[in-house]
Amino acid sequence: MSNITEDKKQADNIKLINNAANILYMRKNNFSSKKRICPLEGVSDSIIDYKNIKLLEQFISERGKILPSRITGVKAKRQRLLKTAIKRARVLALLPFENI
Amino acid sequence: MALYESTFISNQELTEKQVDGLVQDFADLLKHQGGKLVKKEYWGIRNFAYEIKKQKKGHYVMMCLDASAEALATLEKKLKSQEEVLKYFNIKVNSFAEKTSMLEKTEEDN
Repeated sequence: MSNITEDKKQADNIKLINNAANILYMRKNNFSSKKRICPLEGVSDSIIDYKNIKLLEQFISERGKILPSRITGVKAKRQRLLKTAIKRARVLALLPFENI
Repeated sequence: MALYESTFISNQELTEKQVDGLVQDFADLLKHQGGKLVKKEYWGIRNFAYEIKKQKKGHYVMMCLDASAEALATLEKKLKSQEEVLKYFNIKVNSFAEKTSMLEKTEEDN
């Protein structure tokens, strides 16, 4: 009896190890390759400005809403700069508050 | 003294010369208060993203100022009282950009 349980334990252990290896393998091959790069990587913060309409237009939707960083992949600090820049541009009617 | 960027939108019916006159007026006012106009950028007639006072287009002018807070307050009063000015927007900046902004109207655009 004791032998059987021992064997089962070992088998379970091997399964667990295999699973862990599988997960690690998957992570290595599926997730790490998908790592997103910030579209504003490497640019100086000073180009995020309310006068730079061509840049800001890429970060608003067709309706004129600010796109969330979860969609664009912009890093948090730059997203904050973008937010103020877009809001300033809206005051001067360079960008719309809403497009109907 | 602090650095400010002051942008105003004026009626499209004005000519470029009249807009220049307006800027000159503001510069004189600032000078009176001890401030000065460092740089002026004319962005030309631009379409608005939304209607302002039932207008769809207007002259955009950005002025880079070096002035005290009081001088800016008097300028703001003046901007508000001018009928030709549809809208204005002042912000404080740490430094002025050396390059002209991307909105500046160049001769290539014409």
